[in-house]
Amino acid sequence: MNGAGKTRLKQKEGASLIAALFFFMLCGIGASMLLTSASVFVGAAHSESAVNQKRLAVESAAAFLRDELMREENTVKILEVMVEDSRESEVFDEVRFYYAGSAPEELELELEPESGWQEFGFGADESFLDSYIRARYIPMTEIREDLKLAEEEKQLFFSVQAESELDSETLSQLNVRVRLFMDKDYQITAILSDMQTDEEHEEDRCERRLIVPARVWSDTDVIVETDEEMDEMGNMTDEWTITTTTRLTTICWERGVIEKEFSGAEYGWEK
Amino acid sequence: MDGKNKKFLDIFQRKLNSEEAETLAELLVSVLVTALGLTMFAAALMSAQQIIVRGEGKLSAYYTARNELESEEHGKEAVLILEEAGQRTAIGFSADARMRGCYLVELFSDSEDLLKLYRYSRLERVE
Repeated sequence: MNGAGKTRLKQKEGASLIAALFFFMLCGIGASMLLTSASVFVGAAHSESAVNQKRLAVESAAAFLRDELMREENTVKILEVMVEDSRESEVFDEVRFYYAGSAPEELELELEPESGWQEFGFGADESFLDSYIRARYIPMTEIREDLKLAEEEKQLFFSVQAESELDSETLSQLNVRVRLFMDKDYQITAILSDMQTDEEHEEDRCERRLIVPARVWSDTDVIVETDEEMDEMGNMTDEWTITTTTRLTTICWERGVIEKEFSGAEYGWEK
Repeated sequence: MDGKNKKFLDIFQRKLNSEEAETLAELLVSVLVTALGLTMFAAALMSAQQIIVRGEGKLSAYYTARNELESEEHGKEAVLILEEAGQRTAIGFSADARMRGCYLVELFSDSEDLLKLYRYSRLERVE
């Protein structure tokens, strides 16, 4: 501070106007701080509601998917029958996929008579589990150590329609996009994102990861039949073996875990 | 710097360096400026108070709505639709091809439907 300023501060006369101006400036700063903090508080209260609606939408969808996958009806049975005839070079191998869940009787579905299982894709297009299981299952004839399965991503969209008194109303704030992956152990990973956030504000997007582990077990049964052909003299002219291998694989999904923190880089994109 | 500004700066400099007392007019202006400052501060204080009261009302309504959502008292039936590439699809076992990709859910919202907060949980499959 220069000499004139110090003198001005120390003298006991003629400071009214400068002091008043300083006081005015202080009042202005104080008032603007007050208004800013009050506005921030109200803004936070308002955005809290929107942020929570995104979270509720994503978490509802994650919990729904988790509960649906756990259902007993979605237990998958894979029946593979491989027949090797020593007289033939080619091996017969048939794989059939079923859901172990039983349908309600009134629907009169044509279920497998002996098992009560429903074959994949019955009466409709394939569901997303059908196509994933078909792609992930490796038949006995194709098992190789170096076999690598391609990573396949599926995208699903969840929307909710509420029945109002007049018509059905789509609740757009509950729309959720789901990216699904299934690994070779049939574990399902779903990344759920809200559809309210626009692409320019990716940092505000609400996302959750659902990991649903699978329990897989197999029963294999091998029957070997040996047969022979005799000529008229009773001499053996031909002998062959038919080996029938039946493998029944059961897959069911356990209660999944919904995670808040995860890295998008694991899935090839930045969160 | 143009002549007008220079003149104003000179007056301000002179006033700052002067050891003379203020005139009555200057004193009155000082009082006026002080009063204006106080009025502005008081108005801002009152506005801030009103804003905060309004914000608290909103927060209170929000927490009431959240409690109602969690208590699951106001549930109604709704349909969750699952789509893949624009086509309806099922998760797995599909009991009824006609209702493929449709799942019954229980939709919860706040009782007065003011905040438009919704969540849902799974109900039995459409049969």
